[in-house]
Amino acid sequence: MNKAFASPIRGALVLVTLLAACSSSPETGGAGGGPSAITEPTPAPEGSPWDTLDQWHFFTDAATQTPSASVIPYDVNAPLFSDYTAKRRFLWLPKGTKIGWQDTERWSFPVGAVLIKNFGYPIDARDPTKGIRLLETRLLVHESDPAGWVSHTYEWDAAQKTATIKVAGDTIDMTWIDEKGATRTNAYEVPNTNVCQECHGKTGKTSSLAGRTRQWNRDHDYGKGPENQIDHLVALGLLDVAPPPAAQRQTLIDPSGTGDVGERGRAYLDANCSHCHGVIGLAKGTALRLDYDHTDPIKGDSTDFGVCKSPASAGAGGTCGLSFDVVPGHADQSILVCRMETLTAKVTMPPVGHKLVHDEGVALMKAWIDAMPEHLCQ
Amino acid sequence: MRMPSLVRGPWVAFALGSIVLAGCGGGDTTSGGGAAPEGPCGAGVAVDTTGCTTTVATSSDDSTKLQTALINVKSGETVCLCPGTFKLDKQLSLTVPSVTLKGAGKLVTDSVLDFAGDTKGGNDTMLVTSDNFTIENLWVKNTPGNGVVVRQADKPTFRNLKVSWDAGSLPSNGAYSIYPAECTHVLVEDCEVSGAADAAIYVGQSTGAIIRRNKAHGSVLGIELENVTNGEAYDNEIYDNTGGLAVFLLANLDKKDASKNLLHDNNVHDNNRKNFGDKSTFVSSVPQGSGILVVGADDTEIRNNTVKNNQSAGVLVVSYTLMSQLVPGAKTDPKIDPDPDRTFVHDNLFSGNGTDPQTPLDLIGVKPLEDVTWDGIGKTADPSKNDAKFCLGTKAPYPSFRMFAGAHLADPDMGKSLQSTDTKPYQCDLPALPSSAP
Ligand code: HEC
Ligand code: HEC
Repeated sequence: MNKAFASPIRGALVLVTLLAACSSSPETGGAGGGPSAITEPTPAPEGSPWDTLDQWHFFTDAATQTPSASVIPYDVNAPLFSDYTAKRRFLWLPKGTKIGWQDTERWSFPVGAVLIKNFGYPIDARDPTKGIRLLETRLLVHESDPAGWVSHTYEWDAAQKTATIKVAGDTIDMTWIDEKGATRTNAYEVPNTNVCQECHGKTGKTSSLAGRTRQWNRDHDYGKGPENQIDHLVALGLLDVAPPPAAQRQTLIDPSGTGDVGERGRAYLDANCSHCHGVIGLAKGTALRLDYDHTDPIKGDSTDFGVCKSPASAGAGGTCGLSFDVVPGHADQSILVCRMETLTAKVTMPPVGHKLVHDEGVALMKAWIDAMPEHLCQ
Repeated sequence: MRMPSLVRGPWVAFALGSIVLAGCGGGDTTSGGGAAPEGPCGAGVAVDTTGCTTTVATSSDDSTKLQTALINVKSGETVCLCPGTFKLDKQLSLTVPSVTLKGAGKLVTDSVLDFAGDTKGGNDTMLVTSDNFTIENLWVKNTPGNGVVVRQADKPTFRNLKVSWDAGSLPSNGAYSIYPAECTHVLVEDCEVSGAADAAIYVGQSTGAIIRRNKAHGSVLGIELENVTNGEAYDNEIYDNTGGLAVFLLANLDKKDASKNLLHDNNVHDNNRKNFGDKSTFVSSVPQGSGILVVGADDTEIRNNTVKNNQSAGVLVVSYTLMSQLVPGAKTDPKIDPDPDRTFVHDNLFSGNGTDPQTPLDLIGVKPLEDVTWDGIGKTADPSKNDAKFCLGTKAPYPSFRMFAGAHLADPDMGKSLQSTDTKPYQCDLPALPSSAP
């Protein structure tokens, strides 16, 4: 037996080597979140993400969320609820690559593509000039097979200078003022990077959830006034085919807008639930399908979206003492609403990604169910 | 960054061999003069680190430490847990394929994952979504939701695990202890599970499952195969549950069938616990005192089991149609075939079953109820038809038997005139299912 191998020194050496391997970077001494001289994004070697966000050079000034020239900001039609955080989204593609267009399915992105999402709380939602307290910046990096899309998150320090890679998640105690002037608090949860897969899909099968026509087909101001985001991609030569004109593209309406409640409900479910409750996804086994296509009240099978459907193996609490996922005309008897309204860990829906109830989302789901022609399931 | 006990590298095992008893029993201090090296789990702790790539000891922040290890682990590696209680306050998840998580102690009770402080985790307290996962030699406790869950993966193995709740058998416990769902090639062996508010060992919507040599007790259901194809349960001891061993075809799930499940050489006894399942779940309608229960599944073979002292029924086989009439909320699904076709019950040993049938089996109005009971729903007049066929084998002695004409339970005479206890029409064989048992 060779005792030297078991010595702490040897252990430390192994550690040092391993740590060095995961944090090698073209620069030394991260420059914080301040303005940076390098304006071209610098992808990390596959499998070895940079330690700090600034090393990627996606932003000329990350603290103010000012993207580098080749990084494209965009918005989505129906955002995922994330505890009332303000989120900004960006896309970066390696030079010469294009996105594979799909009318309804998820787009296919080239190897090397990076999707970026910033999460922060407004200091005072009534006054945008007060700014945002950044919490985390999430990345989806498209590596070569078999890794496929890889998830990372960078947690911002309280000084808003540096965002450092976080693997096992964290909790940030936050206070902010909402648009009604009320002081709100949340023990905001930065997810561990396994949790990303619960929504974005398994290793090798992870995908972009916003990257689809129904989410991208909307306007954004790229500096010359409102411009359709997909037309903007076309103008930059970043789509592999010419898409149909904007009016003919599938589009989710704004769930918080004033449109038809049926359509708003479907858009909300598509954005917040369908990544698990779809023909693929973690909740596939429940056979509750909440993607836009399955929730069609005319062409769809209403059992698919929960109408008079008894729950699967939901366990104690998972049924709220009720019998059916959706009882048309009776939101109060619908498991779907109850599971969004509760925060009990083993009951709440979605099971990850939030610590607060989405009051407006619950109200919309109630309205969506109550607007269905009344029907008692038994 | 210092990771004193999260030591990576095969060198630990390499240098220290398999069974390590570090230190010389002198408390924290190692005595001089050629003392044994300090083991990966500290002085004086007996551990087996064979094959361990990483060894994790308890700390002040077990959730972060363990989760970090399970994110950094590489395919093919083994994460070992030192003896001690890991206090976990959130969900623990794994997404890397071909990983083994195991206790390094001598006993299954040495390394404990205690989720009593978990107020944040979802319904799946431990969630694995990657292939070839093995978990062994650990005690998983007090999970607020389901215990060890593997979803949508190939070859999950649960070996020599204990899963329980300190408070005993309560409705507030997690619903399931061991929970592979939508998997292929499941293996559950040598585990002891108790206290689940639904099924202790649950296999759902999977194809290919072996469940052997386990002890399942103190739960609403001991072992449940739900919408499973090619499952085999053998050499299990299943006792003190509301219902012992169940093969279900349930409605409104993604997988629409349950078939070819083989239950043999199990000891299913004294399953008379009061049903403590949540009133709105299907399991709350399992009659207290059921030994072996088949609902809607096809081609089930039940042989060589010992079925004893289950007060409602020894073996009960019913159609999902009957359940949907008796259980509020159990709506039929046009996409399933609700009747149990081709059930083959033979060579079992029965005693003391059916002595005091509980709801809804009391409706049959017979006491004691026969060892083997079938609702006969879906039975065709044409005996050559294989549909809803029921066979008791062709070797005497036959068990006491009743076809209770379940379709007529709501009639004024509860179908009495249509019921039958004659085994003759059922003295037949069906093809034996293949077994992987030695
Ligand atoms: C609760 C489910 C959920 C979890 C957990 C989750 N995401 Fe997402 N994510 C979504 C949805 C839905 C979208 C698209 C809608 C939106 O952006 O609001 C999205 C969008 C994104 C985007 C924008 C680009 C795109 O096309 O999808 C990035 C980047 C991203 N997520 C990264 C991550 C990372 C990294 C993690 C883990 C640290 C994570 N997400 C965890 C659901 C989730
Ligand atoms: C991260 C994945 C995920 C997301 C996102 C998610 N769910 Fe679920 N959901 C599950 C899983 C897994 C189950 C099955 C286990 C259970 O019942 O807890 C489930 C079960 C349910 C059930 C019980 C359904 C049944 O028939 O058994 C309802 C209702 C439900 N979810 C509603 C929602 C709604 C509404 C949303 C969006 C606001 C949502 N879920 C988002 C994973 C998810």
